[in-house]
Amino acid sequence: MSDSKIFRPSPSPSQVGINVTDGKKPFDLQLPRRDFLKLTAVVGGATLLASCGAGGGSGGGGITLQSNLSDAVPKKALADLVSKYTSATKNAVNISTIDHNTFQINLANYLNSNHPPDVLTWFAGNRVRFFAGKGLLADISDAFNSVSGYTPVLKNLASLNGKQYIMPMTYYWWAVFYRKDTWTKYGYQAPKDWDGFIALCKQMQKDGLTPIAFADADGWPAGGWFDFINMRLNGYDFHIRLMAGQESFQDPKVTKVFDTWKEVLPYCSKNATALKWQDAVTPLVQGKAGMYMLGAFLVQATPDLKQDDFDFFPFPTIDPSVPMATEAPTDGWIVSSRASNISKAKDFTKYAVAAANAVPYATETGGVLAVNAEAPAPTDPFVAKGAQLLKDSAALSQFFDRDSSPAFSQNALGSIQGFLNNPSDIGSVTKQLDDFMKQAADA
Amino acid sequence: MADITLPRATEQSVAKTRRSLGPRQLKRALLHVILATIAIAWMIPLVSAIYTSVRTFADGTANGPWSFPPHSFTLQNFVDAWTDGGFSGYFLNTFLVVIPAVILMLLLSSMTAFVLSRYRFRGSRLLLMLFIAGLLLPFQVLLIPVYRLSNFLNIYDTLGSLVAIHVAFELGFCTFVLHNFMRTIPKDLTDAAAVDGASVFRIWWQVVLPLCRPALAALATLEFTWKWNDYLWVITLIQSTNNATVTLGLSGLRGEFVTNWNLITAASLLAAVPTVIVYLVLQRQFLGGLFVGSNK
Repeated sequence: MSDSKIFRPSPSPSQVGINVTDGKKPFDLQLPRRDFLKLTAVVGGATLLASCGAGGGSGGGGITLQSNLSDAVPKKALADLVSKYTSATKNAVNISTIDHNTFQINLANYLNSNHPPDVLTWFAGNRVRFFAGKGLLADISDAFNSVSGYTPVLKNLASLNGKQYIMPMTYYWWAVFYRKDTWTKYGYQAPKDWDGFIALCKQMQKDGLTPIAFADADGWPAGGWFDFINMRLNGYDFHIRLMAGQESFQDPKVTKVFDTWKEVLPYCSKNATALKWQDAVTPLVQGKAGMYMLGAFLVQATPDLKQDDFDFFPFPTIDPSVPMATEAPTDGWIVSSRASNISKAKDFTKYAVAAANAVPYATETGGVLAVNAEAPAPTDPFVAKGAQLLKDSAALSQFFDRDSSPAFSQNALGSIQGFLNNPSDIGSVTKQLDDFMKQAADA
Repeated sequence: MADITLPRATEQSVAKTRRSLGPRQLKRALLHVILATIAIAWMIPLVSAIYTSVRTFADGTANGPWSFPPHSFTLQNFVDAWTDGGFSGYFLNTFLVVIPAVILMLLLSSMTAFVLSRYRFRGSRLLLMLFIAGLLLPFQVLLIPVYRLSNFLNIYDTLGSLVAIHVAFELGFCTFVLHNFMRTIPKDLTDAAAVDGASVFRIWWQVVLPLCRPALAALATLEFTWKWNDYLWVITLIQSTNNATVTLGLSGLRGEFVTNWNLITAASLLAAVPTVIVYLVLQRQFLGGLFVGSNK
């Protein structure tokens, strides 16, 4: 034993007793202390054993389902679907709901783990191809092809190298939404083309409204604007090639997209990049904003209003020679390639996407449509109008991030935020976008 | 605590010079204004959370979060959080993680700290350095290795994996604190025990550990709070809601489209209760423990 540098010379034990233990001699504490320590050791040991045991038993006979549907309404719709499935097939399904963003960040973790969940919610298009390409998803072509009512478009969205990796279930539409009451009050009419749209914005501004509710703190809402203007100006095919890295963002055609966008920015909510999209719903509901270009999920954010309090019109035509394309992000089910229960998992997804089950689910959720072509036309006028819009569209895009790669879209949406804050500098934004596309391709 | 004792001291000194209207009274008034402002500022988040938690979602969206008087009063948010939100299960899971983790980390680190502070052997310094160096490592760099390791050990998505990482990760910090505290315990005590024939293990258990009560209590309070509020390790190591802790459960209440803030604040308040209780129970030791090593 060596000497302690701090305690030389050492104080006497009695002095120390007073200092350290409030006047009691240290050894007075011994017995109760010992009992206490024993007790804690026993309690701790017991809970530790319990905690080790608690985790292991999840792999039983049932299907584990990892869901990103953290909103109350879709969550309940899924729970209802699952309980219907369980009572029909006696297969238990164990749902784990993770909040949407955390789910998205952690999906790779879930799929890479030793005991991945069997079935997971995910997005069709490039977002599913990314994980399929890494070998993390089960090839579910047989299940896919056994579903009647899947169109070739859906098959394309689910495919990588001719195999299918997602069972599409629902989609929804993007459009310009407005509150009927507000429009009746001021006597507005839905514009047909871009000039009419601008004229309407001017009129709303004159009436003291914020013409376009807009919020882009999360980056993605601006993606919708870019997609639509690009598809209206340059067409769906150019847009898809651009998002796939086969065209240049420095093409004058893309510069024109930003120039056109600039025309409406003065009519949008101020400080949009500081607002969450929900924040911009409030003025729309209160009748202080005229319209909101967003997905149909907007109606889910307004629990006090019914979806029929809203109406919408398609994003206005800019070049009449370009056929109409609409954003229709498609969601569905993926199966982990190392799921313990692949056949049961496929069985569940087949059940879920059948028109008879997907339609009640979509109706309960609200603002979404079953993708299955055999689904009967929706009875709700709002949803029926949305279904008609999608039917009238010459092409359906997924969305900015779903039509490109994850690595690209995250950076790209950031530089578009830069454009919103400083709309004059289009040149550097388009150059950045090209750089990000190159980086994403190299990665 | 300081908030209360400070003005009292001033009060006494002011009483002596009551007659002379002077800068002292002004000073006192100023002090009260500043203290009151700070106290109110600290209370705003808590009060607003409580206020939000007893209102309905519809009330909040229709009338704004700050409308007063409230158009609704309900305790349903708490009931919903506990039952539909699944918080009864999350609470149990969190206790199953935090209690063994805190006890284990205190037991193990007190052993290490005891040996490192009492005995010198080849490499003992290096060992201590190693523990302290561990504190400097940003834990973000460990996320992926730990995730992989948990899969390799086949404990991914179990509460045991959380206990293991918490214990391993906090060992450095606890050892460091306890080591510093144990160095203040005079060698004579342990030497005397050794002369009486106590084994090393017995000296640790019966002599040193009882003396470390303030430090252990302070650490237990801190670690309990930290581990209770941990979110990053939970999302890294847990995937099913069966094994979720309160923080993961809280985030699961956040919707993609609609977030029921009234429900979330109610759940957050529930989630804060255990840490408040632990703090109140161990408060005395905690305050004592804060002065650990402040004087020699």
